[in-house]
Amino acid sequence: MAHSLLGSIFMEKKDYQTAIEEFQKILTLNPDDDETQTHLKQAIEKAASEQKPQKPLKKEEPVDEKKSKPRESTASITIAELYLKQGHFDKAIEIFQELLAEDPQNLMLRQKLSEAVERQQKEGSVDPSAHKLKKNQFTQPPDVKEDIIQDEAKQESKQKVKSGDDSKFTNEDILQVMRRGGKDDAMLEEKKIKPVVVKSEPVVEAKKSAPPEPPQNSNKISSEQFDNLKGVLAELSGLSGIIKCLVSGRDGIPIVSMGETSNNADLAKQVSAIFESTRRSVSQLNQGKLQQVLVTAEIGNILLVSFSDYVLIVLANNKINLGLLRLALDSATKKLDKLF
Amino acid sequence: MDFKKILEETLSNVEGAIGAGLVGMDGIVIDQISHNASFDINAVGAEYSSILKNAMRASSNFGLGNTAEILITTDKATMIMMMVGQNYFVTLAINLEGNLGRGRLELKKAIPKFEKELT
Repeated sequence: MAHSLLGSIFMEKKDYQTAIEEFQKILTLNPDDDETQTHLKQAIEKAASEQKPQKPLKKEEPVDEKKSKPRESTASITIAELYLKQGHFDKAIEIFQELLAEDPQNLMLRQKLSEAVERQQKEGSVDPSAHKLKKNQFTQPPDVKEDIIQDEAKQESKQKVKSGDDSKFTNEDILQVMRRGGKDDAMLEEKKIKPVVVKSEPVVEAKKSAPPEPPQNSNKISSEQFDNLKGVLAELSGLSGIIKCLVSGRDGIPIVSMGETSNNADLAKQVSAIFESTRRSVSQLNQGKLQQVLVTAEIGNILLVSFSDYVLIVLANNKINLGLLRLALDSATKKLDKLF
Repeated sequence: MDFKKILEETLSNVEGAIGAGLVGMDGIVIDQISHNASFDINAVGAEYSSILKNAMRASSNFGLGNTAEILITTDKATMIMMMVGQNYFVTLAINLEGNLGRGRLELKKAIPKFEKELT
């Protein structure tokens, strides 16, 4: 594959950023490509090791023994908490960010990061040169957070173009790369090519860390159907304003999801209950076969579409263009009807 | 209280409208108007008030705030329900050839009128 070759060439040239982008392109097309995943990991590690701060820690800092070790090994919650206790908020925040980059859904880490930033804002930072974060960068849902990150990435890339120096990475660059290499995969390159962006890799509820494969609770779904299902969801989740979309059985068990992954089980259960009660009501009222339910609330929308024995659930913010969403859903439903 | 007048006005402004009604969250119909015998607003009120309650619970649980509207599409018609204050909702049924956008707009226009009548 051309991207694979390009990635290897850029790796040899030590242009890890471009290599990462090439490998990510491959993974967008084939997320299960183990070899490319390994290459991407290597590229990220090399990019991170190049970017590691060279300056030694100050004498009064209690973790001197760590300074010769790579950043990855020092990135632990304990050390971050030590930094927090001593008022080195920036360092603590940095470590929490790194840990969150590896595990974006970890609520405990988010909470700790939130606390660290709050304390930084209240008490001030020991290291004034370090960058300060806004709280909403991690308290927002991943898609919103991602927008913020991408906006920053755009600004930074503009600055790089202006300065003509694209050979150095900032910490934020590395974190973005690591995030993009993780679950919340959004490729800036793709955004340039087409307006829709695949915000995240599909998540199988039964095995979140395992490669996507048909879960046990969807015996009727073949691997091919499952892959196609993921494709339809990926396409749908590219629509601006969609927070998450998932497919669940009529029993409320989620099968596959795309986008923000927290509370999927609860969402699927409650929303499927709404759909089922509506279906019964519509049937009793002799109003035909239920096709779609749209719940509009103050902050967002829940859209439910029936196909075969499943329900497509879409959670969108209140800025979404409902007309476009319905259009996209019509298209998705047609595809899903063909699939099942 | 001229609820029927507001409902009639709404219905006449929406192409393809089948019927409309003002219903309490307890499922009791306050007033209604129908152009189609198959659209029984009394039954609709009872059934849809429980759907609204479930939707309100779900919206609240998922941090989406208060439910403002529910749109139900079937292969025969589309039903729009919009909250009127905290304790009532107005519903409008439109056939498949009807103007759904107009329906939503007219209902939004009718809500302040209902609210004024109800206070």
